[in-house]
Amino acid sequence: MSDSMKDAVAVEPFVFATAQYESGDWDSAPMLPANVIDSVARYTSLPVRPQGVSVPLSSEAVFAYPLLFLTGHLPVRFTTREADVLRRYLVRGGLLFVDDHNHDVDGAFHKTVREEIRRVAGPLVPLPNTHELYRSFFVFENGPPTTSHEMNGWGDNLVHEQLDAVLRNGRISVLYSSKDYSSEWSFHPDNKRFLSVDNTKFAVNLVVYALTR
Amino acid sequence: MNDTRLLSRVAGVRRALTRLVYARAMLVAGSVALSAWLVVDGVRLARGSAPFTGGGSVGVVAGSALLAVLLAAWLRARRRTRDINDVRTALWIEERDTDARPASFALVTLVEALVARRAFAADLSARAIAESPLLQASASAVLARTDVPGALRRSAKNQLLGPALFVAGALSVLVVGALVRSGPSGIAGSVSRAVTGDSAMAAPIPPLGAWQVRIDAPAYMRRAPQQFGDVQNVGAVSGSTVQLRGTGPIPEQVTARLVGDAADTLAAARRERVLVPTASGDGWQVRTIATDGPVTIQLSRGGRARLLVIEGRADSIPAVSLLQPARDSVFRAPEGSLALVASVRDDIGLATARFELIVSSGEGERFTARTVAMGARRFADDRAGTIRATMDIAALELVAGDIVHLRAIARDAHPASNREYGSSETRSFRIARVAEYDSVAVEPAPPPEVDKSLLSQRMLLMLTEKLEKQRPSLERKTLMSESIKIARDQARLRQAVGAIVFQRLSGDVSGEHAHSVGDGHDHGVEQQQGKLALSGSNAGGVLEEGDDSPVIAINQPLLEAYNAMWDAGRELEQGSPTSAIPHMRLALAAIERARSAERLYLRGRPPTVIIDIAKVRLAGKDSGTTNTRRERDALPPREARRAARLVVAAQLVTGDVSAARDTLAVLRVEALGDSPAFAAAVGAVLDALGRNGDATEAFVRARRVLGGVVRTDASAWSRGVPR
Amino acid sequence: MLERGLRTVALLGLAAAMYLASRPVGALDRPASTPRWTANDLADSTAMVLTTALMREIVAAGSDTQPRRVNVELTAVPSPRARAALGAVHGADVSVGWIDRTAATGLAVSATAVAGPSGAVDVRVAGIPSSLPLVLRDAGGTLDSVQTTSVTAWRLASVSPPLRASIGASEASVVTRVPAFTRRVMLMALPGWEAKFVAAALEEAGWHVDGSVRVSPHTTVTLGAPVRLDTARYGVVVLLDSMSVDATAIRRFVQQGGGLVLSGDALRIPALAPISPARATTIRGAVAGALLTDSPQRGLEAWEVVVRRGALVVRSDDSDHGHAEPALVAARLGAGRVVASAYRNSWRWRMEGTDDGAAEHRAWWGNVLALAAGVPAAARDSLADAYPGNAAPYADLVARVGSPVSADPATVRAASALSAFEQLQDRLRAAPGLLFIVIALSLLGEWASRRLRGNR
Repeated sequence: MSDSMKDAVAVEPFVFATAQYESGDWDSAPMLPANVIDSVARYTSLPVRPQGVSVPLSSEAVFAYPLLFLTGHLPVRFTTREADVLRRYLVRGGLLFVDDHNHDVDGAFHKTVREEIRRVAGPLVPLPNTHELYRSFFVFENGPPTTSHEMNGWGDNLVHEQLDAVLRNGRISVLYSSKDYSSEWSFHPDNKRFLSVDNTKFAVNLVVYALTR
Repeated sequence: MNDTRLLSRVAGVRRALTRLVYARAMLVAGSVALSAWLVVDGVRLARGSAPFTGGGSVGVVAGSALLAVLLAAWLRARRRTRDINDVRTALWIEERDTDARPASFALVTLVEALVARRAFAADLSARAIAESPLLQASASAVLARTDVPGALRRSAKNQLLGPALFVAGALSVLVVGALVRSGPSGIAGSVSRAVTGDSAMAAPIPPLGAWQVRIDAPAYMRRAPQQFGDVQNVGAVSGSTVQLRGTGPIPEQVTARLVGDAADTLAAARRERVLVPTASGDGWQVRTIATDGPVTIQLSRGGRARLLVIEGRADSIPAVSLLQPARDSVFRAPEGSLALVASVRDDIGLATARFELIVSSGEGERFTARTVAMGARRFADDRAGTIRATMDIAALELVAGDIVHLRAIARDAHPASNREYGSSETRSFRIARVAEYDSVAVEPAPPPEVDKSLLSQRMLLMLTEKLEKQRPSLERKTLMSESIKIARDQARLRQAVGAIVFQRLSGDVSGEHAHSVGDGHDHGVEQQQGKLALSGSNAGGVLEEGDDSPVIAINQPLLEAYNAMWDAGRELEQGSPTSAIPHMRLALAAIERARSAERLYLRGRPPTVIIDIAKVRLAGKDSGTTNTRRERDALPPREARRAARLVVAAQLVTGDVSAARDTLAVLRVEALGDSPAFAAAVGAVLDALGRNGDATEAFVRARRVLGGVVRTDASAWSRGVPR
Repeated sequence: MLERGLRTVALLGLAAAMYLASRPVGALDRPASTPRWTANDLADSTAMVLTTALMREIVAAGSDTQPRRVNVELTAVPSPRARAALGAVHGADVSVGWIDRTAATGLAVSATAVAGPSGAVDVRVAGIPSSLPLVLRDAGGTLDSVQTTSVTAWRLASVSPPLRASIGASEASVVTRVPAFTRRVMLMALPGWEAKFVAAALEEAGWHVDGSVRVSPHTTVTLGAPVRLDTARYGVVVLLDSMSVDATAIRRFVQQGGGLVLSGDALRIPALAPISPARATTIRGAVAGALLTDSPQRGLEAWEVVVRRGALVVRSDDSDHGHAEPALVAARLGAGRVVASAYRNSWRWRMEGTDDGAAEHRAWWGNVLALAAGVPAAARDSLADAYPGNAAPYADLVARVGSPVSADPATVRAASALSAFEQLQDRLRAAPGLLFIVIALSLLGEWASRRLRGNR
């Protein structure tokens, strides 16, 4: 079999996409994609592209990436075009994961992005900790794992027990986290060897959930 | 009696007799014609052909035939009446004289003579007879005795009765036959309906009687109530009170039902609600509140039901568009002003509108945000308006690095407290950092890999603490070797931090190559007792911003960390982890401070960390657990269900039209949300039914709009794959 | 004179009544009778008139020594019972020759349920091309009206039986019964967007999907409750990627009546190459932007396939090279079907296409599976036996009674010799009241005239 044929049968790899939006600091967690990709490669046999991409939310290129990550510190206000694209993206079956890098309940990011999500996709409801997301690869019995930032009292000094989600036909369409995974997972993947407990396992659950559910 | 009077009387009788002859002739002719018609119709009936209806050409032929017969009869009668003259009339009168036993013929003679004298004045014999007094007296006596009118009546009866009876009988046979045959259509039918009364002709009175609908908009809308007559569907804004008023006894059951897609997901029990009608005046009334979606109200009384469809619609939030400023922009300096203009529109009435600004300042992990409102304006229920304001940047006390998110929001008069407000697009304005603005040509440095150091330092601290705990149980040699291992790691880390410190200070990427004091390089860093300290000459750094140059701010903690690591490493090399721990803690704290200061918001390329997938693949120690995916729910087969209901309605049309109309009304309202084309097609069917016209075409079109009929290729493979 | 005339009429009427009463009733003295029934009698579903007349024939045949022959002239295609009665007579030693005056054209309709939970029906109508339109209707009204060609086919999303196809006066009807479809789909794929979105599309369309997706060497994600491949439980197996499979089990499954769908890279599985209807050679790239056009499939990356002998190209896409690229190829294997779909990443149709893309993607996969899955044999129509029945009424008549005989001149003359006089006789016999009315009226008129005679 020739090389070209061999390559041709390779399965399409998973690409981690970060959403680029107009109104704030969308790339405030530049190390996160690499960390997540590393975790996915470590624990699963899913083919994954070694590098993540960032996709403007106002372009229809987001449709090529059915899992999208969004974070920031600053207020988030979608332009009309971004809101339209995001609405269509979610209707078609895409999954948006939003994480509050501020870890701040009353903060600008939290309030504004939740309002924008409500306008685009509907109200966010708390996701029960028995949801299949917490069992989709590793088992998290107590729901979403706590981050060190929560415990260190950054931001609102609260440990958030649950994540919030917008459900569509029983599937998660938007997943919202106030737990600041953006900070938690923003380290060089090489340092994982120093950790006794890998705190990026939840990212694997998320990716497997997106790819299989 | 004188002659002329006599003659005139006789002439009168003659005319009467003539008329009798004509009449009889007409009647006989008519009876002949009618009997001919009857015979012909009977023969046609016997042969099985269709009976005569009131049709055109047949009627013309029959009419002309009748006229011809009557004309022939008239002519024949005229010929006969020529014979009737005064003399014969007199004779006729004489015959009617019952008293005279022997006929005296006096009148006849006199009349003859008078006629002859009139004709021929010179006829002497006639004159003699006419003037004979005895004759005149006899004739008068005859005339006086004879009951001429009675005789005429009798004669008429005898002559005309027979044919008249025949004609009447024939006409009645014809009419009854026509009535029986023509049934509901035709002239006879309409005549019979006019006499007996026809239910179909009257306007269809609905089984529950006509009702009246009144809609009171919610109080905040301040609208006048609307009155409707006997309608089947009505539109109302959510929150309006819909009142139905009717005549007659109170309906036994009134049910309000939610319809539509949103209602499909609710349990049947929650979809239905029973309303209680009350008596009012000589009728009844029932009230309900309109909601966001369509609701049907079904009233039933005496086994008959009727439906009212309320198309509720939500009060929509206002539409706001920010006209000025038109684009995002960056301000060089925190001064200046900006004109803000926004236009606002609402379907019912606006309450308030204002500009909302969110000012975010700070950097790294520490952002603060405050909200400022300006340009607020109250509206008195206007449907549209404009708000203006001026954003004075200085008044907002903005500093470099701040970001302002601006949008206009508006609220309508809806009283709910958590009511959403309409908002416009957001514009963002940044106050540029001086450096950023200037360093267009300089590629901003990526955030340093301080995080790596952070974790490593924390790791080292943990390892040292662990070692410290185990110290009582370890022997000296192991302690030394472990301690030295940690020292080596610490040294590596120190070198890494040093590389950053050097890079920042001197712009030199080379790192900690052998620098020594006095080697001629201006390191910016002096070595003081083995430690480094910032040289005073570098008080102004490469990047200068105000008093506390960020370079120093960054590097001071890093420098401290560097020095602390140096101390810690020294202690570890000497095998005393206990004394190394405080230094390591200091280093950690310093790095954290440096890290927090490091979180600059830089629009730039993130560091490219490319994972070596092959190396890392399945290197993780943990494995996941097999799990089951929850099945997705099938989407409801809406189109098929709607097609089935349409068919049911089509079949109901032939039987119970009002039930079909109700079914179609509900179907239309359910489809309004997601398939307006189908809803419009069903509306067309309802219109056709309302006009009592033929709805078949409309049904076909509605079915086609549903899209269930697709032509496929008739290929050899027996199942087609439609395009 | 009038009286005389009326009296004559009355006497004539009485004479006619006497004559009619004396004439024997029955057509038994016409050996080669040619009954001619009206279109109403023929279309009457109870076939009373026909059956009575035919029973007479059979009874008479019992008492005759020579074989009888009945020639019937049909002006319309008879109802199902009438056809059955004629067929019975034909089989009871009374040869029935029928003269075709129906002006009906051969027409046949067949309806098969589409495999799957959609409840759709595939309808094919065969007719003789003519200028009259072919009208398809069901209980709810007209569905479609097209120019008559030799074969026309539809896919109907739902049907309210009975389904009737008519060309002019000929009509064929069939009662569709869509059985509940309970079989499941086995999905075998590697984890990825294609597996996720194909499973989503199938489940949204109403299928139940079983399968397992291997996410890591020790972890699988299970869909549904997969068991061993068996035609009792599974209707179709869908393979989406090139992976190792149990080829013998799949082959056995297909030969026993199941369906196999090989989509995208699954065409490259070497173990299944012998049963695949197409061979994949190279990848042809997607046409940029085509996902947003009328032919979105051109925007999907696909394999160029070589169709094997015996396989049929069900669907092909127009390509820029001029020739059409096969996109869907099907072949039979034993009792089952194998379908090859060339598209590699159909999920892009749903995510990157137009707003209808999700629905189209779902419909596409439903059609592919319907192509491969088998429909369980539905209960047959109650009136059906070995004959076509109402689905092809003319053919049914011919099957039962034989081809129409040419109009024999002798019989034709005999038929028209039923002269007007005899027709009048029949009519009068049928309506005796008419004669009575004529006699009564004429006598009455004569009497009235006599009575009124003296009053002139």
